[in-house]
Amino acid sequence: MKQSTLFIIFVILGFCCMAQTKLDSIQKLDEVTLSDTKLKTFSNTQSVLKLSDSIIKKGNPLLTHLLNNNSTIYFKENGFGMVSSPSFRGTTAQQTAVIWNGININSQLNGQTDFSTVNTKIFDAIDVRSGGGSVLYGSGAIGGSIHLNNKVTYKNENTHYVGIDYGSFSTINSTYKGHFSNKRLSVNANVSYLQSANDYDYVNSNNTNLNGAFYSNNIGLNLGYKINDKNILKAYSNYYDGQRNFSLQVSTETPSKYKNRDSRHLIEYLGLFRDFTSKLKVAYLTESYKYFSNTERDSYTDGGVNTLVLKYDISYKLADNITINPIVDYTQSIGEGSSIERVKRDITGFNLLLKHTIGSRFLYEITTRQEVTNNYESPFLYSLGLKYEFSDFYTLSVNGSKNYRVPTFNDLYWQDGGNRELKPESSYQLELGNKFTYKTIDLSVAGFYNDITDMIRWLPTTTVWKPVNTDNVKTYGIESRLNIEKSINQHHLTLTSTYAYTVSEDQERKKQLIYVPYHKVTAALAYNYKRLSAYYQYLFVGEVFTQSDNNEKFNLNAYYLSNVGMDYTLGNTKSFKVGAQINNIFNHNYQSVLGRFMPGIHFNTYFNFNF
Amino acid sequence: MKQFKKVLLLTLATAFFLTSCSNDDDMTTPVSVPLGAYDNGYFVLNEGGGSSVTNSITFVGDDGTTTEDVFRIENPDAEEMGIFVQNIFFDATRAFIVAGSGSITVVNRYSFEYITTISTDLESPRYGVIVNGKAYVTNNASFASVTDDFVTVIDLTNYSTSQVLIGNYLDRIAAVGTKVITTNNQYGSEHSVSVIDTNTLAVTDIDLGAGNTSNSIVVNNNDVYVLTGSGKFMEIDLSSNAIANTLEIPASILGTKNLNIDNNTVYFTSGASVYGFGLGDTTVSITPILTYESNSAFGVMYGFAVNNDVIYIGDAGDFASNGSFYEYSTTGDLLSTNVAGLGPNGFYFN
Repeated sequence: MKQSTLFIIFVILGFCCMAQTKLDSIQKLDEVTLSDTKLKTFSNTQSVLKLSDSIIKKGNPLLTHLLNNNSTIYFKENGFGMVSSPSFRGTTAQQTAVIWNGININSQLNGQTDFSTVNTKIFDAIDVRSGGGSVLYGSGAIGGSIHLNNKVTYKNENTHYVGIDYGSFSTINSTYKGHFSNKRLSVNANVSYLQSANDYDYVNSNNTNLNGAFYSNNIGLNLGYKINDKNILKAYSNYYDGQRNFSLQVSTETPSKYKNRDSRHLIEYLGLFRDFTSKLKVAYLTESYKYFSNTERDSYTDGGVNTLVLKYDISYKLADNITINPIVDYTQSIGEGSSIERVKRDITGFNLLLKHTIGSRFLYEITTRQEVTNNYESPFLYSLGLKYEFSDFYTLSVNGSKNYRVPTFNDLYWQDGGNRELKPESSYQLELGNKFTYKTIDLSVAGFYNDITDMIRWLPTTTVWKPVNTDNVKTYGIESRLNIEKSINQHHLTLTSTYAYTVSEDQERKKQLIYVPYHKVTAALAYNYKRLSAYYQYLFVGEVFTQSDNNEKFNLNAYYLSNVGMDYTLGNTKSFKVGAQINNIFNHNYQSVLGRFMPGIHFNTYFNFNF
Repeated sequence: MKQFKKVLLLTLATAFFLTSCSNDDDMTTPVSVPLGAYDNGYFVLNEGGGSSVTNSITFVGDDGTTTEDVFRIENPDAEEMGIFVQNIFFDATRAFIVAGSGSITVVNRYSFEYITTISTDLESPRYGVIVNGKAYVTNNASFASVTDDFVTVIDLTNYSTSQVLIGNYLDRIAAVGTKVITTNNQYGSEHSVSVIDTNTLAVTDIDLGAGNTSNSIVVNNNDVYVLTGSGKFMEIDLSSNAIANTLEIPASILGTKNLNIDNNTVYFTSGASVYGFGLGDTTVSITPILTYESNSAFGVMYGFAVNNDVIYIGDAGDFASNGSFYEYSTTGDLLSTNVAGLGPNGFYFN
């Protein structure tokens, strides 16, 4: 695999000749407004799904619901608002990276992000990038990555947004977002509060969701200051504080709760010069949790990690059509907890990225990364992507990469059981993307193949549970997306749909991985007429196995859900929007985790006010 | 063995007494009729995974027929037994099924008909035992603290509960006379047993010495024996609250656990092997009675028991699919191989 990829690199390098400039100014603009620019500059040969602000503003603020309804990612939820973990292209929860303004924020303790703890309302854009991206986005970018971005713009704004949602099970979310900017300074502030009693009745049962209440607070501030046209300073910060009770499976269970706090800070100094762009980033991330195994007691177990990231990134134009981009980064994490003695880990990474456009139709990009660390044996990571636009109608892209998921603090240092001999999980993958565009119809179909080895699993040994590099999983399948827009007079219709077929096979057992459905479909039909908009949303999740031997007795049935929603904009300046949604309109009884029932029909109303 | 017979006699007597009380028409019932569908045989307790629906109890009749998930068969509408079912203990007519999530499900031990659920004064319960009509159940309480561990005392006439705080990390429990003894094992760092006088509820700790964490306990002919993971087979003297005798198991046998005594032979396991020696012997042979084949090195000997010269082994496989259980003779011959539920962790004999 490695050899053949290198061979392809040389063949492609042989082509280097012609030159053409394109989209230069747009890229400079992206550098100014976004921190995560690699999503645009080095993700040309992979599929990126953009979820716009208007989609984000509809519906409840949980990231898990936004993505479940709009992407091919499968989610496993321990009930509404409870722990939610993704399976992207048939991979595990630790193999999806969550990226906040360009920085990987998966927990250093357990390697994953709980998608129920991310409040989407405070972000300006959320993108889903399919496939490997460990060179650009680090550990866990195997199945794909989720990008949470805030924008820093300079366009003389002074706008405020207030959104209030009220829904079933006493769920309240209120969000404020303020944008202030002139030509040199940009201030983007946000506050969001979410709470829910979450005491829904189970469908066709006398039981109720017990001990499910949760709340969370989010505060964010994003600043930009243009010292002059060439030198820009940016600062992003976000603070999260939340508490969740863990809902009970059986009424006799001892009720427990979980509190966590995360803070994220990023300062970026950007220098824009004729042939090169220089970026210095300093990020400081903290995460901490307290788990109370009995809500009645004061005793808890806890853990936390503080991480410092330094990154120097210089993008240099060798020629008008060739960009070379070396990056050096250093990450230091210090973790500590009830079961982890204070421990520090340092990782230094050297990256080299190259993009070359040949003619107006062909480009290729190469990324490489080598880490130096004494915590684990770090593999050489790379990717190679090619894109060729055959015509306005059809574009082909090919991408191959090697990616990894590093052992977490828990994996390495947990007492007792932590295994310091662990290797990172690694994955070789290949994908072929086809994009068809006809008038206002966009269709993309990608086939992917992913060979993941050394997967880490905790197993009981004679005395304690211990993580070991054991499993080998191959995943392959098809991911497709359709987007159709149609306007007749003032009537606008949009149909978006995704479908994924996913095989994820454990190579030892020759069985499908648990909690990976073969089929998942999402579809949304939106209708707009003047100030009125309405939509219908459909979700189908195929049957999943919950036992490694695929014992059918414990399978979760396939389910489909339908949601409808409508909103209307009021006021002379269209500043006021009122809307309502009905979710699970057919009141289906479904579980996304065995023994965990999800809500039946439920409602949400929202008021959005811009001034 | 003697005790088993005694219990059996008592059981028969009580069961008949209860039957006749509850229904006068049954006065003519012939004496040879079994006490219920699950009278003659044994149960395999399958602890299940993180989901409450995955645990189960398998019944194996004396004729070798197995019935899966007997609790659900007999009680289709009852609530789940909890998450991670840990232990079953019995009185004459009832079986008490302990679930780590904080409950004890009470059923008729012969018909498996649901009686009630006890859920007060329970927090991460482990094992139970009965003395004079009261059950004593060990609890780990909050995982964040080793000082809050307690024993639940349950009055079995009305299922009312109370707690006795002990503080050590409590695990197994056994009874002798009016005393109960717990093994304390905070993931290997604790090395004591606690003795509770059930009349006064006074607690006395007996130190087994650094490194000697007991992981199993057996009462045989009113003598108390514990086995430590460090290879020490100890007899505890409850009159002086001290270690009466220590037998060193050869150091080459690592990770000793699963102490059982049957017909005056002491059995224990290490890895996938079963070892044995005569009660009273002063040396232990390093040659195992048997070593069984396990697909997974990690779910080995998850459940173990020896009863009436038959060795029972539960293998948990990968803990994410059905396990297996085996019957062996005491000379190491394989008698049967069976499919268990998820995580078979114990065998209980009816």
